[in-house]
Amino acid sequence: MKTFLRLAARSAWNRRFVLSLAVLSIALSTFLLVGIERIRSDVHENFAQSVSGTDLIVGARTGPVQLVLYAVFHIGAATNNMRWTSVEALSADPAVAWTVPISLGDSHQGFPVLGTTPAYFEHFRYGDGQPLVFRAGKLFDGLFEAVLGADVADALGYRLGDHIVLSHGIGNPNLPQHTDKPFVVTGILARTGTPVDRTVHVSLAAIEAIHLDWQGGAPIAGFAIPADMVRKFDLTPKTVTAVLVGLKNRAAVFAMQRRVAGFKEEPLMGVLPGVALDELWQVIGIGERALLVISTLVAAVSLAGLVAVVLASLNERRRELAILRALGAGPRHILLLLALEGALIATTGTVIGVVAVAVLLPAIGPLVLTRYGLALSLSAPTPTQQLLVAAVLGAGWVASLIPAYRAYRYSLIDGLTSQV
Amino acid sequence: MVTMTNIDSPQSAGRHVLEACGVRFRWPRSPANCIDLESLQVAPGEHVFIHGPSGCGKSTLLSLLAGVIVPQSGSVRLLERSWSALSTWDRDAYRVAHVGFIFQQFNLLPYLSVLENVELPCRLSRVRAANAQANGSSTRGQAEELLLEMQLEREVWNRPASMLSVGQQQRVAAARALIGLPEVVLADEPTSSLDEDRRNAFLDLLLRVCTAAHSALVFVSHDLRIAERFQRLLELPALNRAAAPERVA
Repeated sequence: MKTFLRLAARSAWNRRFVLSLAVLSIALSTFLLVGIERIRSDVHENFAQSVSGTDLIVGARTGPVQLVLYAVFHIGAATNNMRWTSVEALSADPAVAWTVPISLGDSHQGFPVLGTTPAYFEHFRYGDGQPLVFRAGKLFDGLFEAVLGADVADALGYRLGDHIVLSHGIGNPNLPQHTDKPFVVTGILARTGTPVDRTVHVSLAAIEAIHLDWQGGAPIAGFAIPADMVRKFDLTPKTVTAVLVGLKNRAAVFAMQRRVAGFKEEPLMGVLPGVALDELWQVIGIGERALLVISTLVAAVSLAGLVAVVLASLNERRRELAILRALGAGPRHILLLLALEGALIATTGTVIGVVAVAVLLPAIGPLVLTRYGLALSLSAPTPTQQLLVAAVLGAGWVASLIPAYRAYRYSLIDGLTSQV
Repeated sequence: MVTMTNIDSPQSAGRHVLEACGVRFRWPRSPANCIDLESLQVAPGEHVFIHGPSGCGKSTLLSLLAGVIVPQSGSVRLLERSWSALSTWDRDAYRVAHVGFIFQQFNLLPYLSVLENVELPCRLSRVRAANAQANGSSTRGQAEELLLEMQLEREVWNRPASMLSVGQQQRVAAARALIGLPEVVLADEPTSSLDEDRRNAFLDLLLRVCTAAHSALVFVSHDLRIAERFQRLLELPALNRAAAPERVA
């Protein structure tokens, strides 16, 4: 038996070029399956952590997904705003640690404009609790100053000190412009991989100021307040779109949610960002499943490649098998040899694939983060990934049994005829 | 797994090393018998030439004699033991212990050296290894001895078998068939890929070595010109009642 194993090893080494192709195709399919699965779970993770550290998002009563859509992703528009007095009441609640009011509705070249307070930059967290970091410049200080997300700055080529004009409303390309009150870029944020990258941040007071002389979505005819005069007005907002709320004790979140829902002055609602994000992912997660289907197909194709490679080499090996037969190898030895070889190919290929993922993903991680804002996790393989690896391994081995069985049949019917 | 020690060599006191009796064999999915043989005997140390055109079942007969396949009826006995009476595992072990085999061509495992190829039967069978060591001093010793007898120069011994000429390969195959002194050597047209000079030289060497080892040689070929060098000539078409010229073996 030992001799046969040694022979199998020598024989495999003799065919190392062809076999390495099979190993390569298994390695590639493992790499794709595990890599895509890793990216898929990371995309999900990134999405689920678009906001972290915020316990409750409070806004005028609407659907939870809708509230998250505009409060976190700045997509769509709020049908109703909430009063500033409600924001003040909320901030005064003893359970509340901090509040960050946000105001939406304007845009710049298709990117949403977010009116907020400096507290936003202090309390907003994403991913595993990462804070916002300035790539250049600093927080807005004056009235007409703006902080850009990384995508905005990169897409439009803005640098510190550039002047930008905001548009009234979102989406439509022919929006009225706030031409009379341009903003100066004072800061650009580092990439986060969250909607923050696509957002122009200004102060709440600035939002108030550019709308002083507007009514019903248009400038009031014959009435204009020059930019240097706005400071004479009270720039405290009357309403905001939503409030991000941090609690002193996270355990109080459901009690707080109930208090918000029962707020007397106006109909409000509070949503837990994680829950709403998960609900949203159910809708947009189809792409994720498509990725998995694609990588499964890739794996199936490369397994078919393995079978093809081994089957193609089998005809050449019929002579070798006949020699082994004449030297006392039984058909079952032949079956065993080929099954063993298949197991070896499948194992080697899978190991190479897993190692490639482990080496390559951390290597390209920083690039992916800065280019695409996707944070690749460097964690150990998830159970799903382990399952996929096991599946490739098993399928690869089963695939190799097809040629093994054929060889077994050959060795039974060929007898000692070596002429094929 | 396969223990070869318990396949003892029966005392070959019998008059025949090989004996086929009333053998009928049909390949699976074949409509008619391929072999239908009344009787065939080979005495110890006898050199038998079996002649037949291609398609009369020569290779099938050799497979039957070697116990690679077993007949549907009748019996093939090697050293007084019927192949049909042995389990598949035991057949494989019994074969390597008592039979040397030479193919028409492609006899050698290309990834082993010449010496490793020759020693292979001793690696796979303790009987063959014991025989080799009883006769020479060691397996390696007998392998070298046989290679010298087959006139293979020392400088090729450690080369990979695939680097040898066809004539050299056939001589290595003969050395391998004879290491450990098997009782029977089966040769399936071993000279058909050689030109006339090489064929004669190969036959000289093969017959001499078989004689020296007291091994019976069953040599199958379509080439009648070499038949006179054997002690006995059998015509397979006459022997095999199932032989029909148009059938492919």
